[in-house]
Amino acid sequence: MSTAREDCFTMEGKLALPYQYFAGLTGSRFLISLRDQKKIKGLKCNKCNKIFVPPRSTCEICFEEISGNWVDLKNSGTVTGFTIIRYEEPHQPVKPPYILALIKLDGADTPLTHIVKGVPLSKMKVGMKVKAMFAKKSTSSIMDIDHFRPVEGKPKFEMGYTYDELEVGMSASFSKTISESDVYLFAGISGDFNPMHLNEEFAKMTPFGTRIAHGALPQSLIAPVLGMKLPGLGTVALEIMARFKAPTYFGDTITATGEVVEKLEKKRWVRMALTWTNQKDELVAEGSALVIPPMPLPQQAE
Amino acid sequence: MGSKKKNRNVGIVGIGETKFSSHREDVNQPEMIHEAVKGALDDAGLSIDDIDCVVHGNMELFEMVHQPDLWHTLGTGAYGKDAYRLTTGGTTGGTLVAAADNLVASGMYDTVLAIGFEKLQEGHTTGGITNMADPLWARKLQSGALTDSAAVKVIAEFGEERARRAAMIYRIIMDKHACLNPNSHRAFGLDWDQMEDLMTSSPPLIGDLRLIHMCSQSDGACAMIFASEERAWEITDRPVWIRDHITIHREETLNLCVNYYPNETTHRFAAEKLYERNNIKDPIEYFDVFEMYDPSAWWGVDWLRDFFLLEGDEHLKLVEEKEIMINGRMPVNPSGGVIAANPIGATAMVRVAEAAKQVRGNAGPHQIPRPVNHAMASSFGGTMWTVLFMLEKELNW
Amino acid sequence: MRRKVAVCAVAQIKNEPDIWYQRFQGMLFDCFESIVEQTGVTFDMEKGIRNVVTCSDDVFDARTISDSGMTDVVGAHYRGEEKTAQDGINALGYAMAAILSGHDDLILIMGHCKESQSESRQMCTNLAFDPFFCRPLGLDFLNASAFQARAYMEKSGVTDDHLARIVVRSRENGAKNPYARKNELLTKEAVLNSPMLSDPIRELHQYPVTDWAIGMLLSCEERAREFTDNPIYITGFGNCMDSYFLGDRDLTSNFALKKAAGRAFRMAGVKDAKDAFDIVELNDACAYQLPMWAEGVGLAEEGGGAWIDGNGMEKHNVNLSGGMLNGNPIMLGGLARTVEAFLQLRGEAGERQVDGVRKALAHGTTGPAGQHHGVIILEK
Ligand SMILES: [Zn+2]
Repeated sequence: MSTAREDCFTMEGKLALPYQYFAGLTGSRFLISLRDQKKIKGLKCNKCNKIFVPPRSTCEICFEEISGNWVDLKNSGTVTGFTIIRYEEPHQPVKPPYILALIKLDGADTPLTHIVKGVPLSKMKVGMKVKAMFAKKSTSSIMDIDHFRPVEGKPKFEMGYTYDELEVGMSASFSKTISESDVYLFAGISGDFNPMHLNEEFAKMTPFGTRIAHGALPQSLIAPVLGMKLPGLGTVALEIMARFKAPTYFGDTITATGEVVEKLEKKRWVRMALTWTNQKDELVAEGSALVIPPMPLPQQAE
Repeated sequence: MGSKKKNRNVGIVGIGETKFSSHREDVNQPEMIHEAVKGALDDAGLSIDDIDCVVHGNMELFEMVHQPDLWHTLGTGAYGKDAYRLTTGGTTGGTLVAAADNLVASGMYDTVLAIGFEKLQEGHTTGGITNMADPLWARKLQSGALTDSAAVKVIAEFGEERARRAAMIYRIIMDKHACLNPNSHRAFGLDWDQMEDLMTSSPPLIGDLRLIHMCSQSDGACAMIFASEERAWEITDRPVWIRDHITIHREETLNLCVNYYPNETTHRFAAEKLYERNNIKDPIEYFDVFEMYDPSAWWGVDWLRDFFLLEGDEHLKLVEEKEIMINGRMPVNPSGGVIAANPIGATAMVRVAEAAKQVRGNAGPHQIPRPVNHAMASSFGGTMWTVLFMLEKELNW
Repeated sequence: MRRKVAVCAVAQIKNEPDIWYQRFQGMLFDCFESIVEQTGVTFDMEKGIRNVVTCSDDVFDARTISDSGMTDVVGAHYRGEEKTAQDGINALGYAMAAILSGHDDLILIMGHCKESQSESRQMCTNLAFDPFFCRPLGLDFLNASAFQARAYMEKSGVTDDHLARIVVRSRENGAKNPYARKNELLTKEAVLNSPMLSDPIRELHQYPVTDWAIGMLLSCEERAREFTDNPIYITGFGNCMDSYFLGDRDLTSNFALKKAAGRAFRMAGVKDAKDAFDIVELNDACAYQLPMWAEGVGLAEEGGGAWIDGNGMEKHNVNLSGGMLNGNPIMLGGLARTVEAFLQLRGEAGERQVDGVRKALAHGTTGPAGQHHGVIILEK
């Protein structure tokens, strides 16, 4: 059998000396599935009927070859054990404190070790239902799952990320198509009945040649990002700045995106870069925001 | 000579080797080991449940995995069993066989699986552990001027012309053997008419050590199963018996020992002691095959004298008269030896495995074409470390 | 057939936080000279030591084939040297096999580890994990233990308060051991207030960074009295490997330890651990491990919490040396445990000496959360 180089992953070691590790065909298939399908796969031993994850090509107990017996697992599971890592060392993937948990994925028999975020340290417990959150950027490693988060709907309010949970590079966005009625409603809300927004004949004479939406209308789409996604519920916005780059026409689909760019350690505030783009990937506006992320939830009686 | 009768006899009952190659991207470390383990179990007709104890070894920093037997449990079958880990540099594979022999002979375990492996491709490539850079690796091992010392020594004693020819004859014989062995990592198909050309055209490394003389750099694993006499007869009708083994190390850290005792190589010292306590008077007469850990052709030539306790130019004659060829008087490395494949943690075990296959008579295309009853296998590591084995077909010594 | 192996002599240096003034060769050489002086053993090819079993680790030594750096200082110049790269309890098990096999009459065991050399113990043990699925998450032997600690405490009724008592006791016992690491005595409150490293493991629950070296002379039964008037015999040994992935294991089952102990007990003819041993030394790298391993070897069938409350640690004379918890380096925990058993059996344990010790158990572990265990039984 010949093996193509591209079928096999190489992992770079982090040591002073470089090492490269080969995941093997079985491990590579698992990693490719994570990367391309965002699917976690298990391997079933037909002798003991156990479904294993992480992948391995033999059942070490039965000594049976299992490398072909792929099974789709759910991207969610239950925490069967955990620890909160508070000591800081260079080999750690994120800055402590962080939660490392044993997570038994739905459909698997053996738990997988991974990071859990989005739950206050004091509220972490065995039995919690969590789901995989995939990394924005693939590293072709187990870190393609960035972390696990509690499955929504369990707590009364799904609070946003706290200062400690936020990391530079995390981002979130919200998209919406701007319709004619949105513009009319916004005119009513703001009192801005400028005919360039409402009167097509007038608008034909402007440089835009047709009606455009109020500048503040697409800009307001960043509010659901900051307030409900990143950092999320409990966020206080201190400052939002924006510079308009291109008009928004009726029917345009605007995506507002916020990305954490700086953590202000002293105040425990977070600075975010904002962008608004349309369906043609044109930059509609850009700016920045300064926010106070949600505080960790107070201890509550169960 | 201090050697007593073993507490009980130990037989080699299963042998598994992966293909040796410069690259194995298709498997990770435990998977590669598993291939060899599966091979040994199939060879013995055993299942993993029949194994009492697993012995594992390699060099941690070659792949930078701390105590890799822990992770490798996925492939070794050690789960739920007694498990040991030993590592002694290049001699590791030999030490693992010696350990397995001791563990079975002790009566503590009836059936022991020993596994040596290396996945050098995963190692420190920029540091030079690649195919091309074998001499760098050797330099690391050999600390400075020792590297081409064998060449210097042989040349000083026998003159450039004769020494260079002998080294190249040795090299071509090894390649001819490697071409017979389907498991070889490197087999070029060299022939006698290329001798003159190779002696001048192969890239020089250090002094008279040329690239063509050096061993390869390989990925691979070897697994062997050892059983007590009683178990061995249940498992196979042709166990190969480990008659004796000896380990001799030498490495000066205190700088006290320069030339004071004994003034000979560990190979010669080990051979003398081993023959003495086993009453072997004429090793060339006695042994039917010798699998030698020969990191380069120069060492191979030079060490023949040490291992067979030869004098003068007897060892050169063995080479020049091609007596070490597979059909010669004293076949050496019918497998092709270390120059043909060198997965370091497994290499020394492969010597024992290949010697045992010759005794069994089922080595394959490189089987010696006459009966093999007595075999010797050597390991080499460190600056000058030796493990030496005697294998027997019959329990009659 | 040989049945027993004798321990004839032990030589050790003091456990210290940082032996900055000596290389490991020097540490070993001190032990080596002491063994030769105590026993008069030689390296004669006929009658002396022909094989040295060493115990060390390349990653902690930060050098490839680290035994190449010690061949002559351990007496292996033109002799055999075989390095076991696991907890030293397995060096003892292997040395026992080498003697019982008839291949060697004498084995010198030489072990060393300088934990102080590495920037961080955890960075080293992170390298024991596979590079694909575990290493990137920052797993190491400390946080692996934490998974086990939480699960075990939940199951066994062992509390934070119990752990504090274990640590306080370890320090008190260690203070009576002249070769133990010199540590401050602690109050229970100090332990209870020590910072969490990896919940539920607190800083003071973990063994401190330690450097140490040890030598031991083993002999076949027939020749033991050439080297000592007071040989101690190894009568049982067993070890066992558990699964690699933490998720594959039942972390609280003591699977490997029970099997290892079972094999050692069979060899030594031990029926019930609870009344078999006068001294028990368990390799407690973390406080929770002391009751957990006590359950594993069969001392605490009622569960660790109740066993501690029932004064089990004193009743079974567990870890009078101070234990690993007081400070022994990784790799050497099992040898340190065996040294205490040896001294107690010889009546040489000083202030810690228990009267009439006839039989002792010593234990060692290798790997994350006790993946591999070894158990040895020693008798007078
Ligand atoms: Zn199975």
